[in-house]
Amino acid sequence: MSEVYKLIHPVKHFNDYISIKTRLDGRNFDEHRNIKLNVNSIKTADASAVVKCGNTTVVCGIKLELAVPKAEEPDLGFLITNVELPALCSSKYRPGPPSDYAQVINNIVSEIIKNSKCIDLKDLCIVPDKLAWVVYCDMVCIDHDGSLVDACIIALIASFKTLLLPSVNYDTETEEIKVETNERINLKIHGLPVATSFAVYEHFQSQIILLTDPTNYEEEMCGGNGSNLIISYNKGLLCGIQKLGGGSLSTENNEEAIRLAEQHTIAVEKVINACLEGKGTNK
Amino acid sequence: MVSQAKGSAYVELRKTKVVCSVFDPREIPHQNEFRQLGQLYCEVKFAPFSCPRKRRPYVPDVEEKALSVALRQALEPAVCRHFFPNYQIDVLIYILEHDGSCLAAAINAAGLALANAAVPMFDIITSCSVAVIGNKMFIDPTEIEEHIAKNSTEVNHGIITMSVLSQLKQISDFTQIGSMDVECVTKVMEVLLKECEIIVPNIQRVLVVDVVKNFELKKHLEAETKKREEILKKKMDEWRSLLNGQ
Repeated sequence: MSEVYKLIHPVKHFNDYISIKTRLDGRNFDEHRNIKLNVNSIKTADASAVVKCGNTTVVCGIKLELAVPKAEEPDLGFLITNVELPALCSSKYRPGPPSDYAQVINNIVSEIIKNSKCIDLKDLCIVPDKLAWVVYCDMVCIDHDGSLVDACIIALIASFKTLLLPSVNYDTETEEIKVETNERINLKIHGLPVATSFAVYEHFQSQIILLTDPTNYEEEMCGGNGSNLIISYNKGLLCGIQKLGGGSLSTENNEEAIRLAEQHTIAVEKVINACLEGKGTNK
Repeated sequence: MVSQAKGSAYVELRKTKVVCSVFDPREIPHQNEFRQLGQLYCEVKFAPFSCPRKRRPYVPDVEEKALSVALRQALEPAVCRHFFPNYQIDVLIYILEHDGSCLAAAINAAGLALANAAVPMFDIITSCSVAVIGNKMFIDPTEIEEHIAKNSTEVNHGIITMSVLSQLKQISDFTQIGSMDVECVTKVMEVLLKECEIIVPNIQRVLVVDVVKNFELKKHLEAETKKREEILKKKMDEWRSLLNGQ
């Protein structure tokens, strides 16, 4: 019955739920979904992590390659992120070249990682001007149920924490490269960036409602471009706010959102640390 | 497994990990003529981190296209295509980790996902592969074994993947890479038939468990709705009596 109602009057259906201060899956407005995290599941990748935020599933795999640093930045390595939204994650995407939305999410994720300065590119350089690491981070979404950026960042950080860089011996005279695959060095990560997504909904009494960790259905109801507001935090320092469509925000809403994001960051940190100690657990 | 898809499945053959999702029938794009039978659109994609030796580029390379075509050939005899004429069903496969037997894993996953999506099928489809190096047979080869089999210089070398419709006792697809003589092929076929038979009970069990779970969930939800409807009815009766009393 409610499925039929959902199809015929989608806006009213959604409004009814918001009016009684609850959401379709029974959460409060500022409640997050459970996070499940597992690392080192994919052996062909140098580091990997699988994250499930509710139904949203993201797999992150990291592959390392060697390259010559750029001439104008001889002591910096390379960090290349890529977000893939294959057609199987949602009926919205068709098979073919990466959709616009995938490129938007990719941009957001790489901006967050760059601005949070969690990876120092100088650490990735082995011999200045001769040899540096290229870290390819590929995040694949297997199930798109909202809050993509959150899940991507969690997966990325978890795989960074388990990444081990092999030691490389570079003979400057003969230009011989010897890679010791008994991987040793842990990648140094400064801080722990965490993103929180919100959907901004304008209730018909011109009341602004902030929905934390929206599902796909909620995102569509609030504009359709994905989460409207994404706030990223890195150890107490704000490292990015993006707003894409949705209702307008007053300053109080803004402050409340930032406060919620801060709380969420602490919770996610606990999950990641617990997972890395036990190598695979739930929230 | 994938909440956004009509039907989905996840198959792990030891280390090889494959996700499959199936979507509702949709109109065939760029289509002018009317076709009596429905189409299956299969696409296989490898994750960039799935191959042990190097990273794969984005452009669907030859191997992915070949796998997609092979998958389509294997699935077409199993699906009742006359039930959705002029429509197309998307079967999308994503390979998370490639450790050999990709086509076999993909066919198994696709069969499960199609069944999960309630697409009418003639039979359960199962698939298995064997690598042949010289006079040794390796059932369900890993990536290293496949690599050796492909590049071996012995008389008999290669990989055979076979998919079988078990109840109907029909072979839906037979793919062979490499060169081997006829006796070798017949021996391998017998082995593969037996292996595919062994997989069938597992698939049946998974499907039945899923159906039973959904059934029980549905009953539970219906019971709850009935309770709520009763409460609502009582309230309505109260109000009616109040209105009538006034």
